[in-house]
Amino acid sequence: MLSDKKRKERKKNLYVLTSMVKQNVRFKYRNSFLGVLWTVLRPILEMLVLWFIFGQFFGNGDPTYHLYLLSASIAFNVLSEATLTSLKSIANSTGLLNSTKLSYEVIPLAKTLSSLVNFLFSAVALILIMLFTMIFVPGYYVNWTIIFVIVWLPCLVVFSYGVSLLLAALYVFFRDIEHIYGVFMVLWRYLTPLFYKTDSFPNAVVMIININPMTQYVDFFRTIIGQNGLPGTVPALSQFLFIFGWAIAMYALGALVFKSLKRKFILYL
Amino acid sequence: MSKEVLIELKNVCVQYRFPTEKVNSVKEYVVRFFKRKLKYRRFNALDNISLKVCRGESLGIIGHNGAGKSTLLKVIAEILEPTTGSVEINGISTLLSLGTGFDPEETGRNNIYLSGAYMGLSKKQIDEKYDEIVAFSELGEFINVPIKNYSSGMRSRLAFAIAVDVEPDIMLTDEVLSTGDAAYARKCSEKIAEIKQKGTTFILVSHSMSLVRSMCSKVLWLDHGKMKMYGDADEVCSAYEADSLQKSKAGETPYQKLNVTET
Repeated sequence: MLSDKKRKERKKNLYVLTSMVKQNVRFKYRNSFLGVLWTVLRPILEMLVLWFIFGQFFGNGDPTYHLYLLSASIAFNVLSEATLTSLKSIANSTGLLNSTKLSYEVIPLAKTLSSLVNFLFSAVALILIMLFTMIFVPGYYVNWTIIFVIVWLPCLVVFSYGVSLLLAALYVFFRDIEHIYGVFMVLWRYLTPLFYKTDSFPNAVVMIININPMTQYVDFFRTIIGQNGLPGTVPALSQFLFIFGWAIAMYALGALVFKSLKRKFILYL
Repeated sequence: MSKEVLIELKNVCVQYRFPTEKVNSVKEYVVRFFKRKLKYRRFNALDNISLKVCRGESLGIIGHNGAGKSTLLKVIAEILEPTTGSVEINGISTLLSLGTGFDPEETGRNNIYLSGAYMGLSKKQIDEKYDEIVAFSELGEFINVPIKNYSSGMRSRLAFAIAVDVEPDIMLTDEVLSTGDAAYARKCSEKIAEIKQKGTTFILVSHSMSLVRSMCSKVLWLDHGKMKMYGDADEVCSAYEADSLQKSKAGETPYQKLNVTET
């Protein structure tokens, strides 16, 4: 009887979740002429801009520097989009939460999964560029190691979901989080090797950059798609451990904070 | 005499705790935390409420503004968890309050699907009911227009049409039946009578005594979060009306005895 009720509840949540994700994706490209095509175009255009600016400094001797840029930017985008949209998601759902019985977690989860969907669209851009690169850069090819994306992507999404839960819960009580996180995001972006290479950096700086979990996610992704003009390789065991570990730790923290605060949400909305 | 119990509340208390001054920033919170200056006021929105509603019965909830009527509805809708006490609900419940739960940017059509999803319906179930909902709401072409362009009457039409078509076991309404034009209001009350006959239990919050009298068999009178009177509709409504009249003559306002304790 109870398990039946639970199963029904889960089925309902799943349907709500898919409706919300669809709605979010639709919302993002509402009133834009090219619509979802932007998800493919934007990373490529951004890549060109960064390549134009930093190509001379960091791209020297790297025939696949454009992949270095593109892979990192779409990977980092999963985190930034998920967290920035989740941040206000609970606080902005006042009407919904006051009138319907809904698992609160569904709301930031829908935001996180929407950013996953956008990543999948952007991945089309990456694959196209990778195939082009095969033609123009001798020695580079798309290796089978790209299959490890099925391990990497869930880890990145779980990690982002953990951060999202944490932010969404705290934002209900402290609206400053928006500004604090905005500044933190700038710092986080610059502490992740999105366009620079750490080879010539002093050791102390490299250490700080390596503590940053996003460095691990970006590195892993580059390892499997290939870098420095060479095809992808199998990541080291430590790389696997890092992406697993960070995902579990961040999810645990986010879920714990969210769970302990969610009973009070409705009183503050 | 073995009627199915749909709603059972036992000693339900809901306590709101709000800071004496609103602390909305981290800095302020930390400063006050260390200075031990985080003062809260506790306010009992609901105080020791126990009630039982069986299938087919209808309950009216009356009381002055701020008596805890809407809070009680939220507890029954399982949106708000009581601070103490237990709530047991058997069956699907929907809370119908003005225009909430709709996404203003989306069209009426998409909102029907979203609301249906929130109430626990699958896409297939909504597909089946879609035409009926649109027909009942009489929105016509407006169904493909974003909700933000609707009038408040149109919104409540849509909300009502969705809620009644779901045929929930328990329908909670918070002052919604008073909107809409006369013709539509009649249509609504006919529909309500129809689904009441099918076994839907209504919980009605209203200030209109005539509406409560005509729709409900039992009435609960809330006063400052406490159960002041509970029983036969006519009896409670009359007592409430007499009390209101007497109070307004005496110049007493309902908020004079806000039961707040400082901690």
